[in-house]
Amino acid sequence: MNEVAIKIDQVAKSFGREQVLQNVSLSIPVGQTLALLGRNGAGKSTTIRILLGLIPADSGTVYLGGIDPAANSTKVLSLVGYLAEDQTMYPWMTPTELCMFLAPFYPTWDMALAHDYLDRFQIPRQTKIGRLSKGQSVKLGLGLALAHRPAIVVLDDPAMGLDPIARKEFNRDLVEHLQVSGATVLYSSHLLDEVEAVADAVAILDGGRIVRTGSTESIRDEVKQILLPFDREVANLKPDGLLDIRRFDDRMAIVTDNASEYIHKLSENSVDFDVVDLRLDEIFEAFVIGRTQGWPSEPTHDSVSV
Amino acid sequence: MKNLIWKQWQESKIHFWIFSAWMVLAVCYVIAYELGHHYRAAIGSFSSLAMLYTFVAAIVLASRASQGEQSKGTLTFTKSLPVSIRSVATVRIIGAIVTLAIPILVASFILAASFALGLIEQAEPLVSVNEGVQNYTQMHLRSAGSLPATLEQLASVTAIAIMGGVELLLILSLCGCWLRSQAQVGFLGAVMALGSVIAAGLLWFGTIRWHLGQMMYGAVIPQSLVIQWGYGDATGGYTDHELAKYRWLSLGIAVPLLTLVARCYVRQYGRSVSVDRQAQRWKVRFAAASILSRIAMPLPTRRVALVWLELRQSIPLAFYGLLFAILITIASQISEPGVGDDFVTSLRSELPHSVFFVGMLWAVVVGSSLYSSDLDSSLGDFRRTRPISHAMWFWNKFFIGLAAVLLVLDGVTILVSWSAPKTDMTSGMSFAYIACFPIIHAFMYSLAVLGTCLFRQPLIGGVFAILSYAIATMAISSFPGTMQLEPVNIYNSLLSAERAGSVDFTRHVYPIVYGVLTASAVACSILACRIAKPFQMTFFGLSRVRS
Amino acid sequence: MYIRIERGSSSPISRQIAEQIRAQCLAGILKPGRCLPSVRQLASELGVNVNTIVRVYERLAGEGLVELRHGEGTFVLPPPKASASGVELKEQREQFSREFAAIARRGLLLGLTTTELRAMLTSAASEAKSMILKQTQAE
Repeated sequence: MNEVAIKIDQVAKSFGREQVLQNVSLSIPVGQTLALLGRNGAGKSTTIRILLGLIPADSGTVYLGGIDPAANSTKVLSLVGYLAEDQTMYPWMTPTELCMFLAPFYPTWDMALAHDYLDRFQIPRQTKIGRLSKGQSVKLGLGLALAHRPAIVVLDDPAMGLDPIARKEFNRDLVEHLQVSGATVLYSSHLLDEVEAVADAVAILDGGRIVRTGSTESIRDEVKQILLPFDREVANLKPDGLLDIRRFDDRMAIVTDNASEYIHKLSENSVDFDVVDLRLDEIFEAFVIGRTQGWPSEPTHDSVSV
Repeated sequence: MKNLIWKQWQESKIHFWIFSAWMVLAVCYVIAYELGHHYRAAIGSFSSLAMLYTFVAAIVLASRASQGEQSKGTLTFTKSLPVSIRSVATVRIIGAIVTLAIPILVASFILAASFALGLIEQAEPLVSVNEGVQNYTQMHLRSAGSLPATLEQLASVTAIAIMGGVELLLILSLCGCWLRSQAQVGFLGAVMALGSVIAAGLLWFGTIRWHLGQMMYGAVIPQSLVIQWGYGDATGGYTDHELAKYRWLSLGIAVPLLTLVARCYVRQYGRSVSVDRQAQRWKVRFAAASILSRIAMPLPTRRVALVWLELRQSIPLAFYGLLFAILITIASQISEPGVGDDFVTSLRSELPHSVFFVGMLWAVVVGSSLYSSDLDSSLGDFRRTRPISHAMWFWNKFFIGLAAVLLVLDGVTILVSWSAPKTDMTSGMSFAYIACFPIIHAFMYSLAVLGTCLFRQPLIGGVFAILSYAIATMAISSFPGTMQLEPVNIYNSLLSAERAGSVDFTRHVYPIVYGVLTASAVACSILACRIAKPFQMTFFGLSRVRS
Repeated sequence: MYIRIERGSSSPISRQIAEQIRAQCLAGILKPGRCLPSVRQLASELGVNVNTIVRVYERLAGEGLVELRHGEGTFVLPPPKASASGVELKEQREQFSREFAAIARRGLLLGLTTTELRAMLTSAASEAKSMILKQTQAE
């Protein structure tokens, strides 16, 4: 197995009385692109900030490129390419000046590469950053994150606020510049359609924990929707990985993890069922807002009068 | 309209209570001091304190009145409401005026009550005729004034303070409509306040009083209708004051002028500083920046990069600094010629105080504005997520700012007056100045940096610094025993000794007091460095975390 | 090479790409010997994960439709006859029989009789056969 580029182990963090992260564990091997999914306020940004050493975790350990960020935040930041959500850069500087300013802080900064990105992303070099459009600003941020050839790149909801075309270009750039060079990428996003296309693996953060991780392909194979009759015969066939039940008269649509195992079980019991493939956003929904109450109850042994 | 007023009250509440508390405490201090020393000079002190208050209050309130909504991002929302933006602006400015004026009125009322109840007395007012001030004499040799005369004095001083404050507030609010941030307004306000101090003193030099001139001038600059003289004797200091003869007429003329300014503000409020790319392209500043960018050369080390960053960010600072230095030079030039007379001597010994006051404010402005944008905003976020070590960033900024303070302020002052004739005991440059004032200014600067890091807000940080120093010095000067520890007193003693021929810095408690000042400056800066780290406990609790 | 991905579809992206390439190979749109776009190129063009494209190419190579030549690229092979690898074919045949069963069930639910279903199957099969014959004759 590849070595691990990012390792987060049982991290907890609370702000005042609010427990934002309870027990977050995540492991990202070198060269993988992992998408961190979660609702607003689920703690994605907090996790990322702990990862970069900007906030201390209450408990747990974090390693990034083998370094503990809490101990040596500056070193970690010089190894990682980081792009924040809605990043504000010095508005009075021009892109050239900003590159010039940042260069001495990164030992591996490649100025020719930086200028190359500016050209490729078509960012006007002498216009003040405050006057760039949002799309240009995000691309500039991406360029800055890549110009020092980092082995690990962390992007916190980078495509927020971009129009659809700018987003497509951004995804293309991500694939072309990062995945091709074999960098490890961690990014958080809400745009599940695009995540599915671009990410190797996903991790769903909910309730302060990582409730599911897995490769994008396999998660679609493992989590499926199954249409079953809603009757007593299936009552004792409740799946272990049940995520969601919705009842439609005498049928029910359930979403379950470990679907193949359950399908096997259903076939053995000759239940009439249909399998539906789910999109990633439906899978996400099931994990995060799925309701598991309402499974048909067991039939009683005999009708005992009370 | 009612709901606009309600909203204005909610927004201004905190300032209102703080300012009221400030003025009430100030007036209580004045009364207590008077009760202790019986100088009969309460109104003079009240006038100086009110002046200081109006500067701070006017700057704070003007920055909120003109830029408050921009900085919070609510301006577009307000503009979309079915109420004319002018009504909004009217309520804002009236709210600001009321918040500024009422604390002074309340304090004044308390002081008036003390006079009326016979608790304290005021000396009879200075009367000036064409040949000069008639009854100038040492304070304790003047008889006590009658109650009506005293109350009239108090009323004049109060009205002048309010009008001066309102004028600064209005003009600054109007200018603020064209600026881009609260910090910029604060900056401009500091320079204007200092300019007004210098301008206010212009017609008070010499012994001849030009009454008509003072009246017209006073209509434009109300603060010039009163002047305070500071005196010291063995047991303490007191402040005498002198009022212009036609002050009420002057104030009367000032009212319509100020109303005009207020109307301009109401019209201009909410004007967006639009990003008109076409127009902007022709601005010199823009072109200059582009040139700078084109000749950008690689920065060899991290330190150089940080220095470059600070210098680029401080360009407006440099501009205001230059303006400042020019004002100081003008002031020192004006005060050069003089005909000796006790009065003028006392005036001359006053000048270091005004330069000192001006310098104190400048040091505070530099200290607080340098750190303001970087601390908690998203820009600060950008910097924190780069591999820039916190300590390097902080100290780099600190020393550049300190250099800006000392070079612009003391450097210019020393240069300008070094070769000026030392026409009498206290004018001109001296070793005492070089030994004392840079240390005081450095201390104020550190205090402002600490305040800004503590409160994460430049205006509050600046006010914290000024008030801390003012309260500390007032406390020290209040008691005969500790009076000689006051830094400026020490400077005066050293200066007199130097003029008499002996330059000796081991006397007059200089090493101890200035040693303490230096050590405190160092301590403040170290503390500020710790506090400026993100996610540390600050005055307002754990500093804001973006989750 | 024309590929269209439907994001957010129930069908995984790798399957969509593989199916389209497979269909184009079998239909003769992608002629044997033609070089497919490089992994990097295709990934960037479609905005899709590089590893996904790698997997697609590997799968197609496993089915014998393309050949991965190191350093040179991926080349289309002549469409396989019965020489497709046993495992792949078996998997696809199982998939096909599942789909076939589902169609049959649906037809019955719609009220068609077994006789009607059989007739539909016969006519569809003969149509497809003649079309494939025409294509192979055109080559």
